[in-house]
Amino acid sequence: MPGFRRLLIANRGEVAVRVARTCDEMGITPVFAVSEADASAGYLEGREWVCIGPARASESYLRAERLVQAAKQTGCTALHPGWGFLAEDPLLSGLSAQHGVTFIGPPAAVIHLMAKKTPAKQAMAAAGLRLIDGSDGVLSNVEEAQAVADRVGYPVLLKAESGGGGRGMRIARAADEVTRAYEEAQAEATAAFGDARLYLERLIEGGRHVEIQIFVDKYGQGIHLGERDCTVQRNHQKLIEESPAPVLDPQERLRTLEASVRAATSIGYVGAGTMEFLLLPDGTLRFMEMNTRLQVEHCVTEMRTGIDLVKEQIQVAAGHPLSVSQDDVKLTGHAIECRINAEDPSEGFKPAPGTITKWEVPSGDGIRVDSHVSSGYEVPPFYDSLLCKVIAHAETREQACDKMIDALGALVCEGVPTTIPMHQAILRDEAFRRADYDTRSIPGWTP
Amino acid sequence: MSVTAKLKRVDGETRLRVVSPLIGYWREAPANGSLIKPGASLGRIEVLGLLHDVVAPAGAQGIVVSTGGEAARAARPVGYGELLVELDPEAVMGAEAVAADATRAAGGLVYRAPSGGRFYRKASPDKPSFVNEGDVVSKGQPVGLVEVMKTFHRIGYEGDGLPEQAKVKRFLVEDGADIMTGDPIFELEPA
Repeated sequence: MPGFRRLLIANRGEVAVRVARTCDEMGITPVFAVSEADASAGYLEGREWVCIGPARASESYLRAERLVQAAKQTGCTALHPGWGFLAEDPLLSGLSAQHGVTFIGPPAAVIHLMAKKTPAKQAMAAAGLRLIDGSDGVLSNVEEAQAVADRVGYPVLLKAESGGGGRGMRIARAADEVTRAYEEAQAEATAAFGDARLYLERLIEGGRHVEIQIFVDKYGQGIHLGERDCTVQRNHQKLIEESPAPVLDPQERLRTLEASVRAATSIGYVGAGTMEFLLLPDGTLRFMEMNTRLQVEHCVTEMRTGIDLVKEQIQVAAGHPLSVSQDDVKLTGHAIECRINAEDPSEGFKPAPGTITKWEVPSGDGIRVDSHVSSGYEVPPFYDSLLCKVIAHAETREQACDKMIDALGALVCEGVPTTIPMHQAILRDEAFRRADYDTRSIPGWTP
Repeated sequence: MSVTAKLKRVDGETRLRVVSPLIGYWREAPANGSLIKPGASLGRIEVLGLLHDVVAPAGAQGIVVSTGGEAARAARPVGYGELLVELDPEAVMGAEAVAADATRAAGGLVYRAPSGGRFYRKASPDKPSFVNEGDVVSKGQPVGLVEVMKTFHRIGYEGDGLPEQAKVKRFLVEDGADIMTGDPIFELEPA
């Protein structure tokens, strides 16, 4: 079976450990590309690693040429970008390909297409995914904005075509606010992104976040692996993910799952990808964006399908067809994941780097913990605060939630505050159990 | 394109460690014994086909005493922060200073190695030293062994400007040390 003997992990922390685990199982030697700050981390013990730059991510994990060079000089023929950092940067995908290193992910052109707001939406709409009502691409002037806003109904959101991070966005709640919102959004977009182009969408308040996991091989064969609900969020950071989605019409679900696979194959997608949707109060799923990488919450899908998504990614990158057909995919039970961060939820989620003096994780049937942390681990102040993910799998949502509460109770983390108390409060909350909440607030938790 | 290497000091050590500012293939490394000053070339590092000139940082001054392993290779892969060269800031000035100091202290009396190699004070490990501090040596008397390419040569007490007899005051090199021709071996004082 052709494949890779050595694979560079161009990432750090939890995802690096996750990818290495599958490499071990597949008989591939993982080589960790690390920054100076991570070079002494416990998770590198007994591992091959190479230092690519200083702690600052812009000089290490965000430098495509250093990562590809690291792959070259350590004899790696494949590179896994993980998530975050350069996982969705066409440059890393393209540069890897140019230098004969197989990028574990889609081709650069596809990443580029999905990174652009309106081309991505147009491609997805053409494949049959429904969009949030709004302008048909970029607006040519303020008059067009006014006309579109009147047609889709208020409130509306004016967004920068090259935007991100919440900048270059303005809300207009009535017809007389459109001109001001347009001008302000345009000014901010020009200043922040050097691109004044705007598009307009109806503003949806109180939707749920639902996403669909798809997988496509190099021969155009695509499958979906069900959906995930990630409605519990804080500042657009997901806190809890679960599958199946507790609120979703079966017809709408089936229709969108199939359309998502069609959409992915239609753009020449390769590998693991996720279509993100907003579930409207009227019960319809509207496409928001596609993530052209493995997601943090992929474990939820792994628990329900029994399929190792990283293994599938590596095999697909090596040119193998998908190991399963759509009929082979069996989604069983209910899985839920909590992201545990080194943050103090009672202090406004203040990040808390420091040394973890004691670390013990729960185990048992249907419990999975993905982490790079061990006793004595120093949480570096340079990167995100994710310590671990706890995943619980049971027959029903109720049972999975109860199992998660037990698991979180058995998780010992001393030395830094964590978000565990918040998760426990959410899981015990009545509104959460009834699935009666949306992305605007965290059920059972008032900061 | 040029990048400046980084200087790493290790507490309690006089040697300076100059480490790589990049990940890549390092080539044209300076040879052992070359003198490095701030701004001097430390070879080039190739990152995906692009060559970056590496220059010595401020404070990096000394003689290259080690080039971090297999210096003989045309290009060696280095990681960020990996040792490029170890510099001995006292090597030039230091050795001269020690020699001058020894010469001055002994009133010009110092026994210098007649040949280079590995210096031994004993004929074999279980034998007594040829000479000890405080012994009086006379012309022609063996004072040590020098191993040159697996063969041993006795070296005798002789040298320009040395008296017929002199007292060994202090050894300046360790037993088993690598020496060069003309290196000061021990200080002498008139017997």
